[in-house]
Amino acid sequence: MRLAHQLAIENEMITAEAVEATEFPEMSQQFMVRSVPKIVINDDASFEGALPEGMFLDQVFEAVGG
Amino acid sequence: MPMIQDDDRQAIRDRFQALTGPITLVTFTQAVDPPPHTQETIDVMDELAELSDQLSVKAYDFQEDRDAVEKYHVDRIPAIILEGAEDYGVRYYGFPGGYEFGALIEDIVNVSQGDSGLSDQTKERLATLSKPVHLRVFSTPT
Repeated sequence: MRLAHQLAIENEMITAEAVEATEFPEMSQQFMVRSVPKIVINDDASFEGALPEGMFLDQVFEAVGG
Repeated sequence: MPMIQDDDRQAIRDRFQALTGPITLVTFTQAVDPPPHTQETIDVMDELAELSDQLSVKAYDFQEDRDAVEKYHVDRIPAIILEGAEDYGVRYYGFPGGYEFGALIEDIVNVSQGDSGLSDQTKERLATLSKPVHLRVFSTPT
């Protein structure tokens, strides 16, 4: 969640929450969390596993369409 | 018994030398029927606040302090918001243990400094973002 939070600090249009999956089982089920870290973008797109800055950003831009 | 061990306490105190501005650890829990880990979450925030003059804790009750719940857009507890010069939209839901604890310490440094610590290249690219983005990062304590 480090990168996600750093993005939120950098850009005011971005907010980021870390969710402890075992404490929020219903939410984890809703977002089909099978392995962690799992990152969900705008409750739509998602990916699993830690990514370097550039690739993380690729996922974000791809999800919002530019 | 403290939640943060002595060795860690000293290491965190050293790391917090890097804090350059005040930061508030805003917490939401509830007194009535609290979910698991709410008290631990409060205890850890209080212990962290002892490690730097720049840190303070503001504790709200999720059921009673509805104005604050609305202001910070909190919909679950326990919740932690790192508020520095502004509310950057940085949230933790659930007890920040294990890997998350290390991330929390570094987040506190970044928020205090008002600098994301990202590379210049990433910052430039982010500046072109034209739509709101909300990220949820699911993790486990291990």
